[in-house]
Amino acid sequence: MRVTVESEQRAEEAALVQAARSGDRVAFGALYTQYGGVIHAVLISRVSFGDAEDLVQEVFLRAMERLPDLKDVQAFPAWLFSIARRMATDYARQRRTTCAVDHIASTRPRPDGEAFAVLRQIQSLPETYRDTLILRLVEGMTGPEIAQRTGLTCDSVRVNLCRGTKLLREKLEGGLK
Amino acid sequence: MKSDYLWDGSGEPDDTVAGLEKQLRPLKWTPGPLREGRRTVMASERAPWRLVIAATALIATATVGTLVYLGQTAAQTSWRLSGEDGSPSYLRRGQLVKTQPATKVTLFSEQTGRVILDGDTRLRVGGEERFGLEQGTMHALIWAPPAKFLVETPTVKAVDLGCEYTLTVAKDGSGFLTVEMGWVAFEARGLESFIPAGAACTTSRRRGPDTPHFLDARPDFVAAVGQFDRRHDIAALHRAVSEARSRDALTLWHLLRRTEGTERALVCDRLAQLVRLPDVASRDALLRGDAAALEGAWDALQLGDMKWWREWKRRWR
Repeated sequence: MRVTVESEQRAEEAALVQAARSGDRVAFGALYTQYGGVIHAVLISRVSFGDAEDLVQEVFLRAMERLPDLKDVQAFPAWLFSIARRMATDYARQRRTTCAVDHIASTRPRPDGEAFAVLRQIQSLPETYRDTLILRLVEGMTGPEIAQRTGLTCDSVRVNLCRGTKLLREKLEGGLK
Repeated sequence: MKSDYLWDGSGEPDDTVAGLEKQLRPLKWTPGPLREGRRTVMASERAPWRLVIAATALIATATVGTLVYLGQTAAQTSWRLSGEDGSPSYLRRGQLVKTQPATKVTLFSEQTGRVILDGDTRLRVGGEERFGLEQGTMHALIWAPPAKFLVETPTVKAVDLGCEYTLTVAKDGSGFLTVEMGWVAFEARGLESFIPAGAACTTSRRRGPDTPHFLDARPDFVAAVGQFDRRHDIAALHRAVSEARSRDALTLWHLLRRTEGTERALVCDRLAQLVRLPDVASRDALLRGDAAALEGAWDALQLGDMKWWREWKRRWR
């Protein structure tokens, strides 16, 4: 049953957070793998793609340092998102004094310019829709997975996806005209 | 319905959504190792750092089908990677060695050992005696003293105990180890598995190290132990215990630490039938999980050269 599976997942995740809080690096590595995509989505909706890759590392390194202070292991996802959002905001503020870099050295093939053009359109959408759309379209997560990872209700995710896609469609069609 | 495709990818694909997915998918996050030693340079320091990366980034020994990525300027290790022209490249801490499909690459260190990487493997050089196997297969022959050379995988830490072994990490992070000579210890989340020559052990993200077994064990026994590891299936535990041979005492010893109550009693009684346990490893003491009893039972397994055992930290003590 879905409810049982979800509660089992939550329990497993809580155990991982607990283990990571006690200094278990393998457990922390598992959390990094599980949440890396979501944090990446939060970041690329706010900063340039090239910077997001490094910032994912920064977010997790900061989380690792501060994890012993986390009181409630169930609050880990929300806590991690707040670190990511704060770091993205700080980073964007600092970066206003530097030039934009989407074209960076990376260990993977560079996506084409059209991908960045669409990403910029998503970045211009209201914040409510950005993360959800990126999780669905970039990170390849399904609606239920997004709800599970972000703590949003399925209804909220569905609404964000529908409205976000509609707005994005309008922007892209407008851009083509 | 098109709305279902947007929701969970099911139903008739919405052309726009499918097109956006295809276009944006190259931006998807790919998990790399979390590099504790590397702090990203922020803001105004970023440009020079990027230049350093761009300038030094890719030592491409493409002739042997291997790419070595430099994360930063770091200490050189004694590990060398030989190019086709015979010129060695010494690996540095933090480097990622990535082999192309259908290519084998050899890393060699006079003081530590030899590691052969199969194709499509990603190995991070953490230091002189510490590697991170992110994906793929490595064959290691290690001559450094036992318990010095470590390989971290997404699910466990593999500690070399003076030996030769093959370790594979799948794309989902799960692992599989076979030992050809000596011993390997797996550690994760307070669990340990000790794998001798001729034995194998799997690992998973959820459980860490599974229960090891000898490669010549009966398939039914291996299947039952696997089922118990994965689902804590008590019926499978009963099957495993009844199928166990004397040589499978290794597996039973590990199961002692993965069971409790009546399940542990079941394992304990079978172990006592298969192995002559010393007085210190009495039934009561083993059921209590007494450290001295576990060590006594371990000694009774008589699994060859166990010099490394004296150095081992035994988490249950």
